[in-house]
Amino acid sequence: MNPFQFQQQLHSRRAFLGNSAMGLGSLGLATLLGQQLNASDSHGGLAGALPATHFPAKAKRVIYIHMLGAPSQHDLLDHKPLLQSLDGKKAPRSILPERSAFLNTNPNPPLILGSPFKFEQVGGNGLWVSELLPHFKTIVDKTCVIRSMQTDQFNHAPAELLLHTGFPVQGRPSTGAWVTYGLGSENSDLPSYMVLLSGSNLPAGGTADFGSGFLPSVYQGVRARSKGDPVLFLSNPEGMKRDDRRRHLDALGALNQETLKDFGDPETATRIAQYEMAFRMQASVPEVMDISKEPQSVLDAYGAKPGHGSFANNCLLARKLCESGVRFVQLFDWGWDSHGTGPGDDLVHALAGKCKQTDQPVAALIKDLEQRGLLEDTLVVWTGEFGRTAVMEARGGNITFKGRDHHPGCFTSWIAGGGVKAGTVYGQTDEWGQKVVENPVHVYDFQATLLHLLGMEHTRLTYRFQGLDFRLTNFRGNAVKGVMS
Amino acid sequence: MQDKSDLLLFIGRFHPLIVHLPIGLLSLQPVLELAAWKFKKPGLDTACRINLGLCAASAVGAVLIGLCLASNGSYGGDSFALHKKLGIALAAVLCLAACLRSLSREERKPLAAWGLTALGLGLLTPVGHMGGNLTHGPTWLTEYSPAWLPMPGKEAPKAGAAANAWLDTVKPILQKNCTECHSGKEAKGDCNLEDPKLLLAGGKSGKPGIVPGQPEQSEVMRRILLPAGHPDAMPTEGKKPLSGDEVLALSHWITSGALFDAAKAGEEIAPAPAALQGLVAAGAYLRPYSEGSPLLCADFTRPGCKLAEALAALPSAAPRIAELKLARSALSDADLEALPVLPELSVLDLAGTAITAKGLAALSRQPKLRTLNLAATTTDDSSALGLAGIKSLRRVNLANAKLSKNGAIELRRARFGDEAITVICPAPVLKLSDKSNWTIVKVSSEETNFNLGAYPARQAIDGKPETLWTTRFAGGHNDPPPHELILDLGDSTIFQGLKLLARQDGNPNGISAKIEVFVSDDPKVFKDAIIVAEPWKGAPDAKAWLPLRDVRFPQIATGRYLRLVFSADIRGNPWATLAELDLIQE
Repeated sequence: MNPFQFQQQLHSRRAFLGNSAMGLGSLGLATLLGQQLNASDSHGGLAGALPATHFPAKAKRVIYIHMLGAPSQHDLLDHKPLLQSLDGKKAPRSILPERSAFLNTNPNPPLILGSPFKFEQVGGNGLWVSELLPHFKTIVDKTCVIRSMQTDQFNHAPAELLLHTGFPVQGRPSTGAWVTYGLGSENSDLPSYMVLLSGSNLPAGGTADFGSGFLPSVYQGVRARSKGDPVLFLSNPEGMKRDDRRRHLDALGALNQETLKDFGDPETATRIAQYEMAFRMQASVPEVMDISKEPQSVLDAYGAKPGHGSFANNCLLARKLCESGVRFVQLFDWGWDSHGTGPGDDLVHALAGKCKQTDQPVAALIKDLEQRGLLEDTLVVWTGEFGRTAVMEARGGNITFKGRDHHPGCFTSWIAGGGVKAGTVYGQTDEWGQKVVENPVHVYDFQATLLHLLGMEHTRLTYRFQGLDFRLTNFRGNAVKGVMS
Repeated sequence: MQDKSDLLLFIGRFHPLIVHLPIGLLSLQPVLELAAWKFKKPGLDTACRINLGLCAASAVGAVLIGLCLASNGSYGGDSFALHKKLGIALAAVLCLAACLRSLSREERKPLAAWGLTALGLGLLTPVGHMGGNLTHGPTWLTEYSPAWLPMPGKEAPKAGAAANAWLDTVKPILQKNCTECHSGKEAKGDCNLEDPKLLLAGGKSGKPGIVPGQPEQSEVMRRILLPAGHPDAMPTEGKKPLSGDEVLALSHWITSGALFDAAKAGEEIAPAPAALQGLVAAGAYLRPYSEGSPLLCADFTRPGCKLAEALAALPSAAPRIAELKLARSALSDADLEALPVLPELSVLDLAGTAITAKGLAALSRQPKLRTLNLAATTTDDSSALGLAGIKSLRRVNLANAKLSKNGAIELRRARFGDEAITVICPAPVLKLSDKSNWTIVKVSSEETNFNLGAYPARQAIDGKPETLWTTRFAGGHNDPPPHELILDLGDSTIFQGLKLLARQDGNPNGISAKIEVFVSDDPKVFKDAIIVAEPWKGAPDAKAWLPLRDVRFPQIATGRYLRLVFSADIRGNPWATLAELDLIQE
């Protein structure tokens, strides 16, 4: 067997056998070295690849909210009075992005676009917040707003992939996969990495945004739905009883164990674990995914309606999943790509509409987590994949609707919860909101920071594949101390 | 390219094969001699001579080939030197015996030859055994000896509290797979894996055998992980590679610091497994606090964990618990009172449990408790105030608890200073009027350094009692009093006085000694002060200055603009602060 296969087998064996009572337990070493040796895990959950976190972990789990399409920072959290005062004037060349997706389709000189929304200074940190986010104003002191985010990519799919996998091309593991690979699961009855989608589209990066790349596929994000069958293809076919399914899986498991012994392919171990997980999920998922039993006051706070496939429902589900010990909950919400080609994607109608849908549930999620004491060790992330231009896109010269083009030079994200220095505003952009002038936070720095908050040094969470020790942050990134308490 | 030494080594490796030829022939010799003596047949006597001759010749050959094997220096040490000496001696004895035997006459007994043959047979056992040890390792014979058979150098494995990672796990793995060749003074490649010092040092390659904490830098791990067929791969071709679990165990041991010392590693730092067995059996989820730390985070709230059993098992694991999660469990006050002293406990999560003041009182026994999560509990003012007595406590989460409006303030106040407690709680509810149409016309000084958590003047009129305005203080930049604040009330207003709220965080800095109040309809022109208020005069401590203070004017005031001039604070410091400002309108 070549070293790579061997390593690969090793890792998945660690993951699979580590908790299956026939692995390290038999050596008695696991307990000796303070490792998890857990009777309740003897039939399932994933163990982390790290025997211990590199630092004491401030956050134990993550809710990662990705507003797909890239929300406009100028209209939400990065207030630029200069743009408003020069609205409609011809833009100086210096504020045009080097590369853009659609700006060059405008035959006329680009015009400065001031935000059409009113801003108000709120919170102890004096952040200017748009009128589109009235509920965010109530949680601003619980968050750390980073206005100096940067990325390398200016189109959705590569930028999403860069944000989630550290590489603009498909094939690398996503942040959630890395985190669950490193830390393992807290609940053997549920997947440790779950994905909830809302809005009309899948991420542009496709399922690779939450894939496991070259990590064993057991670390892949499991997509759940807030409407209909929570997880597709999970229910038993009609006529099959749970006992039958058990016998069926036992026989299949025995055969798979033989194969694992003969060929040592880690994917076999993954498959066995997945079957067992699916069996337990048949009981656990419908329960945790059912929000109809939540009190009406909670449903109202989120604006959630049982049976709908809404972002509000997903926020409530994210809290429930976290409470049940799911390590990484990924929310994707499509519809933030405000180009201004029509009322369906402009600032005044479409962006305002997206904010109306999401502002209240996000604020409710933060408050709900806090009220339950979960915000102490849950990390909440809110971000897009890049920023938007200070000038109006005016695709094809049409200026009827206000919109902005893609811009990778700066954008705004915020984080809250375990280990986050709440009530801070980090980094600054220039008066045009065009480039970062203070404390830049590249996507790689952002990733390194998230891992740091979870107790992991990003340079040391690695996986050997094709002879290289890969890591989430590629060969870049520094954890940003200024956003951590 | 093959050089001479490679060829010598190639030949040399036939030594273990060839060596059995003289052994066999020598063993046959006494049988032949006995037969020759008993049956007195001439043919048998000839056979004796030939056999002994062949035996001597093959012994010489074996010695020569053996010297070839040793020529590259991969063997060394006392045991090897003795094997070599005795082997040469044996070959010499056999040569002499063969000569004497061939010269002996048939009618006389060849006593000298017999004597030398017997000597040869006597030497054969130690030489052979030493050779075997060199090839297969010193434990080859004893390794699988039955337990009732006492063997030197073999000890029963330990378990439980006496267990030690090196002695009971790592060393046995090395003994099973490696020390056959790599032990003692004759260790191959000068690499002795049995002695801790030499194991760390590594062998002839010069690379350290083990780098504590870094399996990827450890030569031993590198060789173990190389694919079979690679010239550096260990164990060598044809031998059984280490099992996955064995590799993992080695790797974990190295990662965790490669500790050898049972006294240091076993008793204090490394856990005694028995101490944790109870928790594990109860289904508690344990994970290391962080790398290199002997401490653990324990979670009793995962599905399958039996709370009562886990709590009962806690005492034996007490010295190692750094974090304990009991959130939303069925924990009772009695459980909390029965909680053993956890000397290293720093984070305790009791969110959503039914504990009351009675249980919380028992927490004062935990010497290092730093962070306490009491969100969604029934903790009220008095029990929260009791927490102030836990001197190590720095952070309490009381979100969604049953605190009254000033409970958190009291708790903060009780611990103002170096040992301050951060209290997470909803803002106290105070009835304040709507001031959304108020604006700040002028402020002489405000702290706007966002990185410190800023205190701009608008926080004095934002309707939130927990936020405040302060004059500048960051980085030692103090503005001298008096400080001026001019407000626009939105419209000309009739009012009888002011309600002033001092800062609510217990900090005594900037509690103004004197405030001059002016009212006007022109923001540029203010005539005489309507009152010179001393709202916090004589207030001995924060408790007295926390409530809203009414400042009633001697006459009704009318105007759109309100000007406040603040003197130095009650302790003579240059700062002014204000948490909230309201009007008295009746």
